[in-house]
Amino acid sequence: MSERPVPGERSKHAATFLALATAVVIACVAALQNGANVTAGEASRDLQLLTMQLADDFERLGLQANFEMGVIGQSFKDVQEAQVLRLSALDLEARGSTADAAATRARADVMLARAQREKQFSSLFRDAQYAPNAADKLPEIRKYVNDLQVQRTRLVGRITAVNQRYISASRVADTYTMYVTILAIALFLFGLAQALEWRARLVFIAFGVMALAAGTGGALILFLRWA
Amino acid sequence: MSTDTPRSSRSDLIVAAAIAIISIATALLAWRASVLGSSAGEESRTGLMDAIKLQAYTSEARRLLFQEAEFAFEHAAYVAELDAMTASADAGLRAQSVTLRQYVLPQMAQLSPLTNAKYARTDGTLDYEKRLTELKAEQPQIARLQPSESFARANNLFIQQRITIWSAALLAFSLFCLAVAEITSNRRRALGVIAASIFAGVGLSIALLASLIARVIGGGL
Repeated sequence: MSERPVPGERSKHAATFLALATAVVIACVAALQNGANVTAGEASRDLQLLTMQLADDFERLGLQANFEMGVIGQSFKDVQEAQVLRLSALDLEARGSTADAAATRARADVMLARAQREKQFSSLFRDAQYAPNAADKLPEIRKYVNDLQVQRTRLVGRITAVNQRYISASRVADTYTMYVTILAIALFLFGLAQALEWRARLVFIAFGVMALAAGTGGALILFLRWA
Repeated sequence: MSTDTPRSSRSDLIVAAAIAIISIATALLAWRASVLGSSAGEESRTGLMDAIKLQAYTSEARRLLFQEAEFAFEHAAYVAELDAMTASADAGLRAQSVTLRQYVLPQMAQLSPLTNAKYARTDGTLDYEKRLTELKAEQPQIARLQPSESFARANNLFIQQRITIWSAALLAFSLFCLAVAEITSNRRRALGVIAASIFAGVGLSIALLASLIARVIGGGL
């Protein structure tokens, strides 16, 4: 003959079972929270690395642009000097100073030779996409500067993407922490329910189930949305 | 009735012992996950420090390169100027070029190693990459700094940490099954113990396998 069950024994077993189930759910949500934290940590590290690379690229592009502009500036100066010397030679010739005119013209040729050699150092003259298509035209300096900007913008875009990943992972980790807290409350309610008389136990179980459903449901929705 | 009680208490004892063992295993896995996380963090920091040092050395080498490039540019322009003077019809310029070539040009050449003929290219430009490689080689610290290796190890450890945490979660499932077995009896208890054994076996195997694989491919703890 079976023993008559003690009143409320079933609800006590239910509270115990729910407490155990809550502990398992807490373990799973904690694992998800850890995963999100690791992702945030990795993104934070990548962000630091990319920022360093950006600073490095800024410095490199700055040095490169300074060099290019220095070279092209010097070349323009020498070309202009040669032109002025040629004009001076013409003027001297017109005034009958043939010897001085020849010397000035020779000096102009020297400056022009210098300018030609200088141009070989500049990618603005070497690179077909920037080089002038006629002798009297200037190179595409604006395009060169814009291309430098494009490189920088691309790097900044990468940093923004990684930063977004970091913010997103951090928020998800924080939200998981909130759900773990809600589940811990459910665990507390189920634990307390076992020590109370059956009517009060049912109330605690009801609130515990609500907390368990909120914590589990929220964590599940977050996992599905983020994954 | 007399035989039921000892059998029941024996299975109670077995389940209780299993709960204790799995609890300890879970705690150990949690500890290991924490250690893996710390080690991954350390590797990441080492990688970042190495990257900072590497960038500093590279930046210095590059700064030197551009400094040398400016001197080399001045030198090349001056050589062109002197060549034009030498070829000039003007006797004064020719005479000047001889003196300048003799006294000024060698001093200008000393300002930059890039004036050396070994860096000259056929198109009139200079081999900056070759010089940059040499400048980097002059700093032996650069070769020792391998941030990407540290980052790879860190990533490996982070993966191990994730796997270990999920293994611990499987052990939590195992504990749940054992606890259910503890409060039930007969068939349900047997089912609980079987399920707990499966969860514990899978969890521990995954953790062990992840650790072994990490050791084989390197970067594991």
